[in-house]
Amino acid sequence: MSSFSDGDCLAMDLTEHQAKKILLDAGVRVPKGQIARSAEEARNIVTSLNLSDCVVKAQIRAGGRSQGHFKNDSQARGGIRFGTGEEQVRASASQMLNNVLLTNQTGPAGELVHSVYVEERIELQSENYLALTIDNTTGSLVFIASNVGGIGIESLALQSPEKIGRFLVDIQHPLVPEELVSFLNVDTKGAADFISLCNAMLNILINKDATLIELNPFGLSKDGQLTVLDAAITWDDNALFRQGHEEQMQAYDHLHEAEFKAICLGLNYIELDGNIGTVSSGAGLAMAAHDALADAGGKPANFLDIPPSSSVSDIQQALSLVLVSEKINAMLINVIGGGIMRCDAITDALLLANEKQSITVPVVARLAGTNSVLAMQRLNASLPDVFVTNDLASATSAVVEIASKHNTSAGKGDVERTSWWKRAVKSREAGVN
Amino acid sequence: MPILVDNKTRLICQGFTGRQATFYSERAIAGGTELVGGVTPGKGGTLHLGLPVFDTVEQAINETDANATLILVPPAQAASAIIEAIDANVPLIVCITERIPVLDMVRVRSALKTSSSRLIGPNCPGVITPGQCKVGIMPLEIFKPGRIGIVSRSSTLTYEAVMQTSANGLGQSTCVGIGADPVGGLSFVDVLELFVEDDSTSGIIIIGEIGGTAEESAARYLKSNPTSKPVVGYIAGLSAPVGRRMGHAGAIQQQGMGTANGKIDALDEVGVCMTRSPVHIGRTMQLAMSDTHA
Repeated sequence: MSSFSDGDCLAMDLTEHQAKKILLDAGVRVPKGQIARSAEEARNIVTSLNLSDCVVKAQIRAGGRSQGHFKNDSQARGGIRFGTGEEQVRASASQMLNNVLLTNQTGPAGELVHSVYVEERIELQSENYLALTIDNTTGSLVFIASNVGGIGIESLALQSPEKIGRFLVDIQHPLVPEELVSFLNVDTKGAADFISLCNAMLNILINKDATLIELNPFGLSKDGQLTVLDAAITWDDNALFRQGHEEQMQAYDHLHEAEFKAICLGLNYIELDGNIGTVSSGAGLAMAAHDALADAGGKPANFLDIPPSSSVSDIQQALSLVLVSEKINAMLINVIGGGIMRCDAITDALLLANEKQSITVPVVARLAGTNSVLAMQRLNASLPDVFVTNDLASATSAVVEIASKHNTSAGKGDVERTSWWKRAVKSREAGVN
Repeated sequence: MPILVDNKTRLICQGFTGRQATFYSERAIAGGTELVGGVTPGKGGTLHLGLPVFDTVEQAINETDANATLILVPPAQAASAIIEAIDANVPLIVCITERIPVLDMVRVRSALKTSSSRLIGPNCPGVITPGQCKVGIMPLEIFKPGRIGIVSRSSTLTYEAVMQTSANGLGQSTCVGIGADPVGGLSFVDVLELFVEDDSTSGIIIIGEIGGTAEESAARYLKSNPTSKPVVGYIAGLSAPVGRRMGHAGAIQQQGMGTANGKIDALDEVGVCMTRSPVHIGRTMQLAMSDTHA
């Protein structure tokens, strides 16, 4: 659910095999399978797990895989393929690996497939859908369920909303709603297993700070066992301070380096494909700056907002994150100073960033609000090349014009991920106040 | 009578002795807000900024007769601070803290169900009636007492609208930052209801952003409760690229809503004057006001 809106931005998604591992540990039945990072590894799993009918599944952090297609595949085959025997599995894996898969959930950029999951093929008597998530309107937990699971669930929700059931759960008394059991027509024999499955979902969501657990499809296998064929889990990034262990960290290994650094710094960063670097105070103002840039004919290279509680060194790290990007031709700083983050803190941070690595791209700074005049004067004196204004409209038109003329590239910083991670967790644990 | 806060508001601050709380409390006092004390567990009985510190919210309320609390504590403790204020029946609770785990906010919402307290936030700048009372972290110098009510999910976009309405002389009656978190306290609809009824508000600015369905709910409310006051709207994120998403549950819940264009159309249909550029919020309100009075 990665988008610009604040609440969603920080959510961290797991791949299918990571999600299934967590369900398996919670006692949920999933088909036996294993992860492979090369076609050879995929082939070997067939023998080592003694599989006959297999499914090879591209591991990306988005659904819609069977209906998706690969960027360099003229036959437009999807990211979930069935096969029997070592050779078919190897061939499917080799077509998927290191190829970009596009689905209706990946966005237009698609997602590079680093690994495939090879598992035994199990057929269900009927495919059902079950999700546990948070209902933003009521602020409750909600089970969403349907007897018609599978890939058509979203269009079903629009066309036949009565086939989708929603059942609120009070977090203070997290019990499986009886209506959910009857809505899915679970018979008396299967009720105990189904309720354990729901309880496993509630336990994972509440104890591990997930915001979504989705099973699609699940149902009874031909031999009558309740089985989950595909699963999605999203962690709440805001809860990392109490959950920051290995399992949660896996959700980050697909990120762009700058995005990963930003998460470690507690910033909200998204890589985009334009040439104007942007830093704004607050996500809303950042979005507004992007809208104003688009209006003026410019294209942002990234989305980045710095929270109002940021110190000069926090802001410097945020600015540097953008300044080291090789693809920017100009940078827009868009700040309305308020509270602890006054405009002069931005000036100090920019000077500090310049000391660490001299700024080689033209910078436009829109500085309004607390200490705006002081900040602009100081910037004029120390970095006279920076274009300063207190008005968003003139800042955006200036930066668009400069970006279209200027062409340069700056050096790129490189810091190993684990050290960033450790530092970030340490500073989180120390608290912010 | 302005909404939510005015010159009768008596404020305490939770997390009072912390670095951020000290900074904002000093400014609140300087701006004329009647800050009457604060809460920091373990520091009860001491003085901070010349004001009494209490161990619990309940003690603070009993001793000071406060009717509002400003919460400035780290994310890990924020939800229990809000719940403590709910348990002490504080009428207005404003929580600034960002990055609170969403399940903590689900617990808060569960506690609010059986309470008469109002919560603003979290992840918000707070609420201000310029010239009377500020419960929050916004920069005072950009505000100007006046007739426009502003409600926004984004802190800094609130400031953008404030600066523009101060510059063109309209000024603000009350500004409410409801916060950008998926689960929070007062909604657009709750604040619109207050502004519509409020004699000191002649025009309303609503600032939304992509994601969620809060703006669509606001449009539905305005449709069934038409107001003669001009309403101006801006939705941030028109130029946002289509993001990646996970699973189907989000789409099922949004029922096709949540896009910038969808929100703009929904509000436009019920008579809200929508501006597509953030630099024209003030001007749009000025035009809407002169149309109304023409």
